[in-house]
Amino acid sequence: MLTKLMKYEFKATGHTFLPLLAALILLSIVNRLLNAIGQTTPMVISTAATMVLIACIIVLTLVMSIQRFRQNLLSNEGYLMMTLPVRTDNLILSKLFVSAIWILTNMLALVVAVIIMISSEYTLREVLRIIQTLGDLIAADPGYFIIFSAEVAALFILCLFSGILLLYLCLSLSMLVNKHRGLFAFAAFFVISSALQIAAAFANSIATALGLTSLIRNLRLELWNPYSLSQLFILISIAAQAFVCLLFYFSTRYMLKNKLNLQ
Amino acid sequence: MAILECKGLTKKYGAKEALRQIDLQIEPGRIVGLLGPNGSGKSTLLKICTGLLTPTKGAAHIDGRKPDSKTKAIVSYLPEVPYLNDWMKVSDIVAFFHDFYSDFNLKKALDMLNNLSIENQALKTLSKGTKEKVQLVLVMAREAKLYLLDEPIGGVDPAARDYILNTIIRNYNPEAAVVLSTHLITDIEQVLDDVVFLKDGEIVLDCPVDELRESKGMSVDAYFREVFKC
Repeated sequence: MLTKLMKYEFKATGHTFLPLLAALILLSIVNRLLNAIGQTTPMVISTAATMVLIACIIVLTLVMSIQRFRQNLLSNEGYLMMTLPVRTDNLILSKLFVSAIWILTNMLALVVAVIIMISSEYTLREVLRIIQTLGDLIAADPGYFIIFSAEVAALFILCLFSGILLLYLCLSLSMLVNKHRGLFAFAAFFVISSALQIAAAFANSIATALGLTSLIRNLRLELWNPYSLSQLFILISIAAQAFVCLLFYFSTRYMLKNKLNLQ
Repeated sequence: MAILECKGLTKKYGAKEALRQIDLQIEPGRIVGLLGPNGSGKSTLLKICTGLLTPTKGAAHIDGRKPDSKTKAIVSYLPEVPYLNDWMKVSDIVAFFHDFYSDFNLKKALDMLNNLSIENQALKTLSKGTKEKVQLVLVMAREAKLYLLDEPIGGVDPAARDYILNTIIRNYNPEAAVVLSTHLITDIEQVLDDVVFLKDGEIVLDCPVDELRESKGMSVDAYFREVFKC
């Protein structure tokens, strides 16, 4: 059922994003060609157009994450979606995964567009040089590289998920009121994100008070090389992000299951 | 066994009680009219049975289970609001139902759309009445065990109304029950087996239509007007 839900989620969002991404790539190629020919005025125009398009894609990616959840699950369309013979988990996860996939795809497209626009003999040589340096680093300690990149990827994905899930939670909490739901969701966003920052600061000061920070700092270098220190930092961050994701996810799920209040 | 059973069902919105201590049993094979004025709790009761709302007290059981993804597979629900997506065409929403409901009868749906002369347009270009017809076709094309229809004929023209009522009767299946809420009683009176009157969140009458006509000596519509006189 999750794959079926995701299929329809892609269909609903694809016809907005795909033409925009195609336009972006096309425009960046035009940009590059105009640059090669050396036509200044058309190039300025097409660069401006590309910048506007990039801004549009970034804004639309955020708007779409909010809108698909709000419109499809919490407004009239909710009467269809919430009575489908699927679990609430699958409804949330399908939205989360598709939203995350679009964010990643759009980021990738932006990178590709920028690469196309700035590609020249010099930049290509530089990129090759960076890849080579990176290759040397990996060759020096491939095991560490694999672990490190897996950890960074996991942290990145968890941060992405917690961001989207925070939006979902705020939208779900807005079902507690019958009027001004948008405003309520907005306020909930600020309250929750501030509360998280305060909690993080609090955890940090407790760690300091307990002497954990100085303990780590004072550990002898033979035992704690820079690798294991960065490892410790990444692992704590992963655990904290995973906790936040679960908290947001289960709160949203509770709201959808027990406090559904469709308008 | 009753396909739908409510025991001590109570729903509060804040301090306001929308439903109070509802006890109700609906057996397979019956067409039940859920009748009451606006705000009497009809939609709330149906929403609880579909799992869209959680009761404050008591419980609704569908085929012995509290509403969950398994009961949703055997309940065909028509809400009173339009829920069609803007980006789909008629054929897309038909495919959507076919994908998610294993009891969806594709041939039946296409026949009904054809009979109502509904073409494969984008859903957002359909008129309000046509949207309602599409939703009703989707809901009735399922071979469900329980149909919960909230105001199924409210917004459609009288000709389509007859077709819809005929569809409900034609779909009659001894295994399935139909609960339909409405205040257009005269139009549906002839299809009903039982009536349930809801007033201010409470059941004030629950009996077979024939029994009501015999004991009160009047039509359901006339009796309704008497009970709910303003």
